[in-house]
Amino acid sequence: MFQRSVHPTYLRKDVVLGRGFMPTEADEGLLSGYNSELINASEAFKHRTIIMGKQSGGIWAVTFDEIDSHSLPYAGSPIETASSHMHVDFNGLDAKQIKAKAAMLAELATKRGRRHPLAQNEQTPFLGLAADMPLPSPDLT
Amino acid sequence: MKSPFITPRFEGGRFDGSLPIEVARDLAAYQDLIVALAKQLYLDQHPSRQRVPKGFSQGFRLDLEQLQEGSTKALIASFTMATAGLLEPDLSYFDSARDLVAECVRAKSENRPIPTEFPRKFLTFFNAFGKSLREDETVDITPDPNRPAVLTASSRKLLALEGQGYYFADVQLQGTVAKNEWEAGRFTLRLLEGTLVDIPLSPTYRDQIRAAGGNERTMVSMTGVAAFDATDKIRYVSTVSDLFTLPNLELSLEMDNTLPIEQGWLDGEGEAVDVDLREVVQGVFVTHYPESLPYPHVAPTESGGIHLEWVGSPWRVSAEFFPGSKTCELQATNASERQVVDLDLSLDDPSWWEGVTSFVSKFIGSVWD
Repeated sequence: MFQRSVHPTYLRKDVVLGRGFMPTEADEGLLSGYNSELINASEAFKHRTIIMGKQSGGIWAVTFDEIDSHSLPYAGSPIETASSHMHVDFNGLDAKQIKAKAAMLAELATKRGRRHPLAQNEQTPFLGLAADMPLPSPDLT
Repeated sequence: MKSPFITPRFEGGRFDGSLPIEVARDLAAYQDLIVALAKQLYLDQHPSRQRVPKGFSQGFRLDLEQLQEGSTKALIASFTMATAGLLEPDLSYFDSARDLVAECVRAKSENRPIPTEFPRKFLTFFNAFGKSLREDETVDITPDPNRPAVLTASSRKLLALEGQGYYFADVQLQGTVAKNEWEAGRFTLRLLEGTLVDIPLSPTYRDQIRAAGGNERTMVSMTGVAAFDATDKIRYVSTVSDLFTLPNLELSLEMDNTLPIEQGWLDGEGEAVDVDLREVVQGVFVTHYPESLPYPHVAPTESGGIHLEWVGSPWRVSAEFFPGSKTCELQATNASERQVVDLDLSLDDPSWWEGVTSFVSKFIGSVWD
């Protein structure tokens, strides 16, 4: 799964706003995140907040199938402190298309729920799977 | 005839050469206390009498003769006692009352019991006398320069509490109208944190309260005086000096709280939200937002614009406003069906606002659905 650290500005309780999954100008069309096959949500959160020193409202995720279904390319893009770093590529889309796809990814991530930190009374979403393991694609239709 | 009576010394806070009007009002309460106490002292001295001699207090009044700046942040007011028609022996009761009030204040500030000769019922005067003092302000009412009698906001509160179990203080409250009781002449305000407070209803703002009743989005803001118990909890509002209603306060507060006014809010990136844009968007949304629609989430964009988002099911709607542009971009997305609907509106079009509400209604629906 693609794990995304969402800035607190784009969170309202457990709702991720569309902009939480939208690359900024500085990102040059590449939405950064972490590959859950290489790092779990807790470690990704630590990397983002402690190593990178960035603000985070938590880690949220979409599956690679979901990204594929929106015809968005993705690839690993390791950085010095995180070999698990990756990106989703929004290049080639106009501003409205970017906004629409970001909103739909945010909706999918919102429905899946926050991956880290989990509230004390929250359980791992699917019994038997660790928080950093891929979830089956939900049937949203 | 006039003679010096007292020279209260105000220190701290606002006392930088002038006397705020509400502090002057407090001094009127001081005069009332002196008169009431002088009468009581007279009656205590003359147990056979039912009342004070005719004209005992009519001839007495305090006049502010002079205001002068003392040392840093101090203001000294000189009061004379005008005593037209009062007999000399009776004047002493007013002096005794002054001394006893000072001793009462002094005792409280020194954590001693108040003097036994000071009737507890008169402690209620401290609901008014000293009410306007702020935490950083004091007034010394001693007639003896060597023995200060300093009244503070907290000692004033303790004196009032000792008298009747509650004290009065100025309040500013915000909340929604929970209940109207026209016949009883009051309404109940639900404060933002949920506490219910009874407030007297006057004809002056009756129509405003009527319009705000049952509308959870219309906030009532009032200033006045409330009774507090020893735990500083409001028991009721006794008087209202000002009251007005604010539509969509919650939305206004969200905009105030979430739209940054400084750069760098996005981990060092992120422009401050454009001031003119904010004024337009906030003004229109707060003033005209329909009761039927849910409030949007409000967030800034990295370029200093404003992003509003309504999260429904299965649709989400966003409205984006750009700095330096007269465009509102509306977009509805349905992640389940992968549907997208876009609509651009010009803010120069007088009907742009109707366009926004119509678009949101179509995809998000009403809060009453």
